[in-house]
Amino acid sequence: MRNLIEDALRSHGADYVDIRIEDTTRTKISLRGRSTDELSVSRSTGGCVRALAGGGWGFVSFNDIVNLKAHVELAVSQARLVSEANGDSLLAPVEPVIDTVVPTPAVDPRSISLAAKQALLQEYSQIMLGASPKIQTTTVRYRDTYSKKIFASSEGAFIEQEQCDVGTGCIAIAREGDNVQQMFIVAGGVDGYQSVEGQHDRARECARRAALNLDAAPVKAGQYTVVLDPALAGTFVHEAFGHLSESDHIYENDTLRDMMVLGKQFGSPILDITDGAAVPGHRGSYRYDDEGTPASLTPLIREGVLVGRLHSRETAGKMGELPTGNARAINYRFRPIVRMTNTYIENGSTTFEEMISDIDEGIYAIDAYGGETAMEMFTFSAMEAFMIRKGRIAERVRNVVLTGNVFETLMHIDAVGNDLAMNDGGTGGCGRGQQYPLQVSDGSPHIRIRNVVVGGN
Amino acid sequence: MRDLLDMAAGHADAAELYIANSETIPATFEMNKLKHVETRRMQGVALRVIKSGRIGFSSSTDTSKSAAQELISMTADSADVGEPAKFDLPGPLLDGESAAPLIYDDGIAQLDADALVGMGQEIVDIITEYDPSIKCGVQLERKVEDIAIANSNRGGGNYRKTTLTVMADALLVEGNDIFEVLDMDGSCCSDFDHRSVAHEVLERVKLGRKIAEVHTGRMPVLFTHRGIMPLLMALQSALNGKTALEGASPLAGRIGRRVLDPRVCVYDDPTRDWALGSCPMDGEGVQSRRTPLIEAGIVKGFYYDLQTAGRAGTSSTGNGFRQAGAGDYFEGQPTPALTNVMVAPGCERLDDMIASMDDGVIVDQVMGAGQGNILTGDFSVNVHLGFKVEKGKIVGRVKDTMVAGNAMEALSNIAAISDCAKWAFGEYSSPAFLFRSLGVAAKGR
Repeated sequence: MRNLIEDALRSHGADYVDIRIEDTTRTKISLRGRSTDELSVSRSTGGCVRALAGGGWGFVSFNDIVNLKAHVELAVSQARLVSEANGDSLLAPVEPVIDTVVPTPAVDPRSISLAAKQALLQEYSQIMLGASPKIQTTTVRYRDTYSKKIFASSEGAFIEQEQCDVGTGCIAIAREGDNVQQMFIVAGGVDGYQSVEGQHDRARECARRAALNLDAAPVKAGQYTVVLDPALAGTFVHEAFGHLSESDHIYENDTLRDMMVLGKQFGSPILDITDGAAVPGHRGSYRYDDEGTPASLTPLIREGVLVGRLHSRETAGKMGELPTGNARAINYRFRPIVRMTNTYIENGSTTFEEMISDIDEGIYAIDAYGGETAMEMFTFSAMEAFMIRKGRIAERVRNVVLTGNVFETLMHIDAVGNDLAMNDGGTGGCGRGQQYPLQVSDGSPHIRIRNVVVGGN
Repeated sequence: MRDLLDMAAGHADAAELYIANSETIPATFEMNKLKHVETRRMQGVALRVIKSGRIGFSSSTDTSKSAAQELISMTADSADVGEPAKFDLPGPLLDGESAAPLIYDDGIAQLDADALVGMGQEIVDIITEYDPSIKCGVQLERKVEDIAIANSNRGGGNYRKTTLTVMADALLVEGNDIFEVLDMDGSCCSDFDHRSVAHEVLERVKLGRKIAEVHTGRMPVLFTHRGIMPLLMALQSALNGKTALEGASPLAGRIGRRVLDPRVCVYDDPTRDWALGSCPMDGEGVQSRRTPLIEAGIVKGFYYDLQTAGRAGTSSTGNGFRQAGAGDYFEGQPTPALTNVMVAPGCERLDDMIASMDDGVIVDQVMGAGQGNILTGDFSVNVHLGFKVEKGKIVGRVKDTMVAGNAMEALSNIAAISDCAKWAFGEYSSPAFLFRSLGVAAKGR
């Protein structure tokens, strides 16, 4: 393989060429209720070529790796076509690396039989179905992925990386008449199969809470002071700020660059936000990104001030900043784009009790169903929520969906806790364009935000 | 293909092969300039067997003969612990049962990168000619796809499909205000006018230059054909045979009952010529047909794949499709999915509907459509693009606004349905809906 790649990287006539080859084995199991809805093993082998010629980009992806040389030629001819119209693409310099990275999962998921994996999921399913007579059905999903990736460039880089990701998600669906409520837990990570084991108590608790949510009243629309638990605050920082720090949204737009100028006060002085794949042991952790740039730890906000952003080699080059190792592709079918890795709010100093004590009427929102971003606007939804009344946690409410504008909302964070926790695991991930689900993690301590718009009837 | 199928069938009671090959050429413009031209070639094979009455499934991107043994053994392993099969693989398609839809156009297959770049430039020019300060992103994608299905009951078939999809967005930034308008459309036919996407975007840019104030409260809300998406998602979930079988659908057990306004009529139709979701057969080789889901507000039926239909004691509706993340859809096992969702138009003019609103909101693009409690039909969405209506006139664009309600309740209490159904995102066709009173939450300024 190495000879084939190195041969294809010779005499291509472009300014720069890189080749990625991947071999991925994936197991997916999904139970709905007691029956197995999906059980499959898949193998995906393929590659891609990216070429930069005369400041234009070309890209080809394929499954027939033996014809690599022809794929390089096609990518270069496409790059030339782009360069005729717009030849101003460039790359920030990165020292080419030759390295091999092999993960050491405590329990390799490939060593566990399909029957054993299925039996574990059956246990979670049974526990949830038995947790309350109101549980109508359950879905338990499992996925493990083992990838061997090669990155090689015409600059001399040659990196072999293996990656292992294991995740499970347990969904409990409670029903009473027309009222249907669902909750889920996720588990997993990059350190092996053991990370999805031992979730029995959490699964039971999840089903119990789904049943309790049947009796919750829908929240009343309005503006509230909200306290977010670490899981939901993690989703918040990912959606509300993380996507806007992906530099490929802004690097060629002067007005957006002005709006996102480093040194601008973005949030209150108690706010620190960081992203980085160099933090080991999380779903968004890796040694090198899909352009062969070493992973780093990037401070994005310090004391409320914008101090950094996420880069590929191109966005860094265009903005005169340093690459951060955030160019990621979901697989070999796509070119790398700027993505988050592990994104989190750093610890502050307020306790949870202090945070809620002076709230007359507010919402305590826990865990996330999901979220979405469109530039400065974002929205995310809580799985579970309680009203806060006169400084105490009061009645359960549901359908709590929060929305905001990044420029106002980060300023309105007026308390940050000291209990940072990361969200890892699950079978989903982050989506951008067609590239979903990308493995990321996010996290935060408890935070309090003033004046958040909450939708409702 | 026959060899591999025969080999697999030799180890099992029944076997099915699904082979996909495609070539996609995307051309991408960023900030008004051509940025990337790509070629993505994909191949994949999925093998499903029924062995000792149990389902086994696996897939691979290696379609060569040498990889066949690995595929067959992976499939056999999964069948050992697989679910009992409640179906037989379909036999040969009957001729003349219904004509296959037109989905292949040589005019699209012949489009090369040069042609796509020219079309993209036209879209950028139309939008920036109106206002040079707009920054456009455009993506055109031309795809040619070959699907072959064969099974040990002599069923299946093969087809070739071409698609051209066009996405465009316009971005205007002023101070801390980011104004973004998107659209997407496409067709299997080269008659499709890519410039229509530019005009759809521009029309709404013009309406949204001014920001209007909204207050929190209940008010009339009009959803355009694009904005109605979260409500249709709730209906799609409720009408899914699998959700109904498990009792998690609010419509479970209500076939023949009126659950929505009698003007509501929804069907799935993969037999429409040139529509993006059309195909002669589903992913299990079951012949495509038009499936009524809601007629005159009455539940007519759910949509099924083979296994779900078997478990529910009914027949597949030809809605068994393979889905998986990030391009390799053949990795997914068949599951019930819709093709072209068609919502019937009503009889009122859109202009008259807007004129009838004294104080309300128009929702045209939403964010967070999938994050509510879809199962109950509760939605609570951020209005990504919407307009304020005062005394029957659009007065500006709304910001930091949410609209919430319940899809089933709202669709039972409709003020008006527009007389024209339009394609949204190339995925479904719907008229605009006006609801008398929904919850709106807005930021106080």
